[in-house]
Amino acid sequence: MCSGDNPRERQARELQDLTLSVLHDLRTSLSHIRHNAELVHEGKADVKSSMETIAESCDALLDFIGINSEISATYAGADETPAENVNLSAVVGVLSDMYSSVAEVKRISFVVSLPKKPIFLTGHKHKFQRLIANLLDNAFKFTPEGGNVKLSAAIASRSVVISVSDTGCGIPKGDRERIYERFYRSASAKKTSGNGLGLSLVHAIVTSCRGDISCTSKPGHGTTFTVHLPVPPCADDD
Amino acid sequence: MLYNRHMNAILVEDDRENQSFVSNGLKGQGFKCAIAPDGESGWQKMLAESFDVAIVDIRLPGMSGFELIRRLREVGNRIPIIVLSALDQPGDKICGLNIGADDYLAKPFALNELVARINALLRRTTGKPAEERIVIRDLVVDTAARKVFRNGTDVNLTPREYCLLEYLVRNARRTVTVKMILQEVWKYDSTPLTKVVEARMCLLRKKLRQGGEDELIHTVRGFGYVLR
Repeated sequence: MCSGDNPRERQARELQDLTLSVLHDLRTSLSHIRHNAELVHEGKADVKSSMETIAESCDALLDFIGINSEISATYAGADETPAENVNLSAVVGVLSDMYSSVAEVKRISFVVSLPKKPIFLTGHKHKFQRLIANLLDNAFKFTPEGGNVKLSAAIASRSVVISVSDTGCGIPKGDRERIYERFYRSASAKKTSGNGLGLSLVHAIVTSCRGDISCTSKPGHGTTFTVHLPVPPCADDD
Repeated sequence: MLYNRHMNAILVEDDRENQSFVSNGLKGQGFKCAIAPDGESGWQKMLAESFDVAIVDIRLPGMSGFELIRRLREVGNRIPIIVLSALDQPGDKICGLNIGADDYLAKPFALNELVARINALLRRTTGKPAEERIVIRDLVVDTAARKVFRNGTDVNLTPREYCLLEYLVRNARRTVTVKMILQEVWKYDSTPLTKVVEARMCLLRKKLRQGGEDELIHTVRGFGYVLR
């Protein structure tokens, strides 16, 4: 940052950087599609292989558009279908089943902790699924073979506490302030695949639920994300 | 297992590329497929003729897809209806289902996914029971007992692995996408960044090849998986 930089100029520059990131990702996928379409058209490509690349690039574009739309819609409170009484324990159960195979293949210990009595929470099931799934995605991506991932949910003092911890590479302190920004990726994250949007969506969901999220981490040792979501008084556990 | 032959579908869609993609694709699968380019002509066609299934785009010129569905249900027409939408918002899906649609598919979609959903709907509405014993090469799946045999040997699967295999077997020789698998097997509507389906497929494949048999489940890069 230049000395004498005013907040408006800094905001404009950050918006420019964000726009360039979006355009870069869009252009990359579109380039793959265009190139392969040209090669097929000119008879210079293995058609099957080119079509597979085109399909993959289309899916990458759709995922990119989808998650960006989801983040924006979540912050804006758009699409607010009526909230329902969601069995969060059942949501955790499905997700733990989904990720257990990843744990087995990557030889990572995966522990899930839930209270005996099911936890219910007012909200939208698909949002809770996305929130927990995105935290698990990060945990499994950055944890090496032989490591540990733990998922827990519990009721504490008028809120539901969801925690995902791992023994992965950790997040440097300087990066922790920015991890919820769209497209932001720390230096270590850049060594892996990803678009830097997962935690942005998590943050958007937590905010829309009037909850809060915190992150503790030690580089080289692991990270814990803790989410508090408010529970209406009538749903409190004893 | 499939109900396509002689089934009569109507597609209510104004986009010409989509008309061509869906109608040609369904005809290739054995369906007859009529096309209505807007809500009003779809309404008139469905009053005049009998169809087995309707595929209705939400955003149509003039009468919307939602309005068309509402009118059909109001006059007692119980035709199975799949709604198509380019927006993929939970609100659209819930509105469609509340008005009387039976299923919802976000664009773009794989043709196999549309066909799989049509078949699932027709199975429910015609009351035809699903096959109880399915044989693909040396693989036998007894759906009543939820048991699997490969080359005569019992294959011990977890409940989720069994659900995944049964889904693949019921769609044998068709490519199923990761999204379809997540929705059908885990009832999960998004696509996680982690390759959860790939990991489960890896474990399932190992169990199905314990006796050194040939691979049954094939990856179709960019599209999904096929069992054949």
